[in-house]
Amino acid sequence: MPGIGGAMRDAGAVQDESAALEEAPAVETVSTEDFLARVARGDKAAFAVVYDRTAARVLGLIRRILIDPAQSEEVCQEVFLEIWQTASRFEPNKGQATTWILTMAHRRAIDRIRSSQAGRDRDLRIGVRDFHRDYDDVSERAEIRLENERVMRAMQQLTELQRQAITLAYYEGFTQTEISAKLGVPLGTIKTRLRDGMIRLRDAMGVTS
Amino acid sequence: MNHAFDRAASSGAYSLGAMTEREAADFEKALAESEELRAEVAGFTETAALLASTAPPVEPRPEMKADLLALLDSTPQLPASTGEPAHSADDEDAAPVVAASLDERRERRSAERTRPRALLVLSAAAAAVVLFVGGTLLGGVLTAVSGERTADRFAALNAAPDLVREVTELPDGGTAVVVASAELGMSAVVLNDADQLLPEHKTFQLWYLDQSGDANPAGLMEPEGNRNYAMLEGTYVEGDHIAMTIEPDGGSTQPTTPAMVLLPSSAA
Repeated sequence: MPGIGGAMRDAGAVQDESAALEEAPAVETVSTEDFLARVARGDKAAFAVVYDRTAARVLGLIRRILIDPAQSEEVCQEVFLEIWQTASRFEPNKGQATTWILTMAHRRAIDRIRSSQAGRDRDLRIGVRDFHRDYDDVSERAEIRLENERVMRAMQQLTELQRQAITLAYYEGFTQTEISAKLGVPLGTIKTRLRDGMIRLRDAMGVTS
Repeated sequence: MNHAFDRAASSGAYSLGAMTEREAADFEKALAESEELRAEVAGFTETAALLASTAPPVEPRPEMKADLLALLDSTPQLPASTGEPAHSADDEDAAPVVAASLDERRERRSAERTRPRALLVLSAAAAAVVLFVGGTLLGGVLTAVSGERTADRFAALNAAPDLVREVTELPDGGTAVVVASAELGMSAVVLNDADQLLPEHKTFQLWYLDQSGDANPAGLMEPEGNRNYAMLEGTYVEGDHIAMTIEPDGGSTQPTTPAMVLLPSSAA
């Protein structure tokens, strides 16, 4: 399939073309934040672009948490309908579009795991998880791989106990009380581990907000 | 450990989604009172979203996108926050903006207890429509559910898995972008800054040029402002060329001016 590059007439045209692309309705040069603003005004083409840019990551995260493919697809569809419904609530000055979308996906996935059969099966999965295995499986898309490496490096900054607590919370959807019971550690200690771990991760990944 | 400290120490658990609804509601009260805590939670939220990148991406089935696009018309959108009637004036005055949006989130959480079921019913209904209309083909879905609406068709086209896209610079400035999908049998032309080119009483006319070289009229296009798009009339077949000419108002049955070929790219 010819890409945008195939349409370039000559090297001199490149600059003009990229300027023109910004005017076109569905192109790579426009930020996802801008597209979300258009979605808020009922722009379905913009919705399609947001979907194309984020769907594989959204479904990937949900699958990581829920495992079950059918349930994951249901939740993924719910997430995108929620994006359509609530795009007007996205505040670009408070963070990136992908953060907003992935936060929503995570919340819906853990809501589902806490209210369904999926939750009952999840103990079986603990211990099977291995970051490095998943990392090796990650798609060839360079942008995601780079981000992944950044996260993997940051995760190595954590103590084993912090990493364990964060993993149980974020990827397994356990509540702090459940983690406390599971690890036989007081709730206050779990809170502290989660918070200290997040501080380290945040600083290691250079998150500035 | 006193209660205030306990709540402040919960920012990690909150950002990772490790609280029950009740705990989250309690924490959000602390959040409403502390700028510092809000800043910490914002950073943690962004950090948590980065954790998502260790999950291998999974491409959804192509039907999911078609299903979603078909559901948009029947899915109402929330208006922008300002003047939203869900909160009383008192609430809005009292609570900082961040807290208000977090409150809303919590309310939505409980509201969603019933909503997913409604969505599933809706999805099932949409699926039933598709079956009755007789297409598991994407084209069937779109024709059945989205009907004639140009914006829907344009959105669906841009979402097509086999989308072909070409940008052509027009002779007198501006660009034409062609998007086409053989799977959907649809194509569209987007004109940027092309309205200056059009003499009085003239119009752009679009054409499909088939394999035998015949030009089949595919609709007229009158750009307004610096940007416009039109869906081509008729069916796009893989291998068709798409061209544009300038014609008298009302169009012509055959091109009367030199055709600007937009697809395939003349550089190809």
